[in-house]
Amino acid sequence: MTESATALSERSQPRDAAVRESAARPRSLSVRAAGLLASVILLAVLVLASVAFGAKIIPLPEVAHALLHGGGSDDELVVTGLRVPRTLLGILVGAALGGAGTIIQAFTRNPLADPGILGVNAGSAFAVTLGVGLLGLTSISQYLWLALAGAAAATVAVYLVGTASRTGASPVRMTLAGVGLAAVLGGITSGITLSNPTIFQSMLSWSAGSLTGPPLSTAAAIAPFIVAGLVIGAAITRPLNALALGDDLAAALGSRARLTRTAAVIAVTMLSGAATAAAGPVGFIGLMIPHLARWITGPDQRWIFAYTVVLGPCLLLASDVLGRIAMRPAELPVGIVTAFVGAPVLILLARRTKATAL
Amino acid sequence: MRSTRPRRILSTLALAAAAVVTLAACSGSGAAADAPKTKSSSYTVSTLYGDVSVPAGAKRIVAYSFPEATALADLGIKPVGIGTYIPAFPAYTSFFKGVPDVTDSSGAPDLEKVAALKPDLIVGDEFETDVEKNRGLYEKLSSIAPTVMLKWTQAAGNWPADAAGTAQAVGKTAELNKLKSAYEAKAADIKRTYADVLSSKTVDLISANDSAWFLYGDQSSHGKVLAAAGARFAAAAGQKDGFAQYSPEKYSDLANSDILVVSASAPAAAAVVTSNPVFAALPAAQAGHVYTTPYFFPSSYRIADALLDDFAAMLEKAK
Repeated sequence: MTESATALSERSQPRDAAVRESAARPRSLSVRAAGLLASVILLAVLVLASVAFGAKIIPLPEVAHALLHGGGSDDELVVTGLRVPRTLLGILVGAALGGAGTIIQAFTRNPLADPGILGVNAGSAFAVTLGVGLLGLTSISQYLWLALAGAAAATVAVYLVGTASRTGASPVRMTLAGVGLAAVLGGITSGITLSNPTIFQSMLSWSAGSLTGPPLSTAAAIAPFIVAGLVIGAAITRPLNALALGDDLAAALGSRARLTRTAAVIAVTMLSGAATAAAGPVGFIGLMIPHLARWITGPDQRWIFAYTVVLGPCLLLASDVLGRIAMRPAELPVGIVTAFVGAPVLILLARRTKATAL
Repeated sequence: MRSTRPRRILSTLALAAAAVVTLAACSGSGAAADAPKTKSSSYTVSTLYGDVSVPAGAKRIVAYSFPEATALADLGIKPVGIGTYIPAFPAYTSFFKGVPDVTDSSGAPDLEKVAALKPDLIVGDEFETDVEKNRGLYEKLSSIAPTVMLKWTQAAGNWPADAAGTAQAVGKTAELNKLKSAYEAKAADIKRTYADVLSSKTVDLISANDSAWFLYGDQSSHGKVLAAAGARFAAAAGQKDGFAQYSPEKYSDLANSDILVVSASAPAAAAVVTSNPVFAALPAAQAGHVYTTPYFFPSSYRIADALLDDFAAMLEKAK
């Protein structure tokens, strides 16, 4: 199909175009599977890079020795004590953000939606600020659960507003409620942090988005939420495909919109809430990775979801490694790097390829 | 960020804005340290904007940055307006209770608030590199009252000169010099009493958050105090900047430090540092010579004095 023809039809009848496109351009199974395999290999390479490279220069043989035998030297402690935990955390957080981004974009039928649009990140940040300000918490292991609770509370509030309509969780209502709540909570959070330099300093590294601080126990604590969120997300990819056709058509196809939407909200909260609680608000992955995946696979949520769960960690780990070696002997927080890397890539994608319909 | 000073400390800490690094080379010997040319009716103070004539007997003083505010507190003068941030020091917390905050949400002095207080003297400090940028602000403040803008350097390293300039502006140089002599005597006493420990053990000063740690040299406000008491730095030896930022992977750079002083409001708050496995394996940590103090960034002789007491207690334990 020619690009210009699609663009024209898209402009006139976007939804039809999406349907036709998915019918007209089904990437063959083997192409999609090969792409996914390539993504997994890329992830494996990046995992190795994340263990091998950092602010401290450690010879590769020593890295290998540390991984195989553990050990007590400084270099080995850096590998086993710092790099391995942050790599595991990076895989979990990247998969969670990528998956959550796919679900939220399909759920809201809005290509610009990111996991924060339901107020999840704002809820986390608000709870962390209160914990730091009122309870005097200072480290991630102390406020992890608070951040998770804040994410859940924000989503429940948004959901209650969103479900006030007859059709269940109406995406438009929920998006509006989420954006509104995020603005309110964000305002209060800034108010508190700005008026108290101590809180500001304590929140600094968390709010930039970082994989550095949290110990291995953090990854272990959020893993169940992320696994559960991914399982729910994978289970609703097919109904989400139906929802992409619009509520009426979805209902005609036998999709239970209310159930699907409720499950989507739960999955996004678990994924985004756990990721944000552990690493702070890391931007761009949830927004960008689904687009990248759609560009490769075409509009089928099942494949998009599978790709994003692999490509999310790829981008996060690549950004993290870049942040470690870009500013030796210091580091750039990964949240800053994802924005730096993400923005140009997104612009490039948008210019080079026709944005694939949802 | 509502205050100028922490905004600077924090933003520089956070972003390691190396470009902004102003070497704290002028500390102590800064322009403000000149002897006051006391006339019967006014004092002349050297500032970033040249010599400023200040009428003697200023009663309503606005000190919008913390080194000047704490210097005034040390001299027993209560300003009528201060900035949002004042170092967490019990004596100052009670002293400044009820004094209105004159800085706006961006940290700059709020001209309306300053004018409303009808001050007869305004003191504050800024980076020397920002002199042109702040000229407009300076001129507006000057039209409200004589304004003494002193020099701020990275990590508050210029506080002795800021204190001297402030004392000069209120004609209390002699009183400040008494505090200074007492502080210097205490530092010399520590240097003498703990000469053995100080000659055999090196010291380093660090602060940290979850994703970075900072090493302070003898140009930082607190490094300067410890150096006066005879501390020899290991990792920070020869560090020209007030602070340098490092990745948590680089805690091993502290392997040659015998005593590590960590900035923390309480020992438990240092967990962000001590729980790092690389830090925990350091010789100083293994030997139990990791200490905490809340008095990083002292901005006055009184806080510096408290830091010296803390340092003496550390040396006593590390003997």
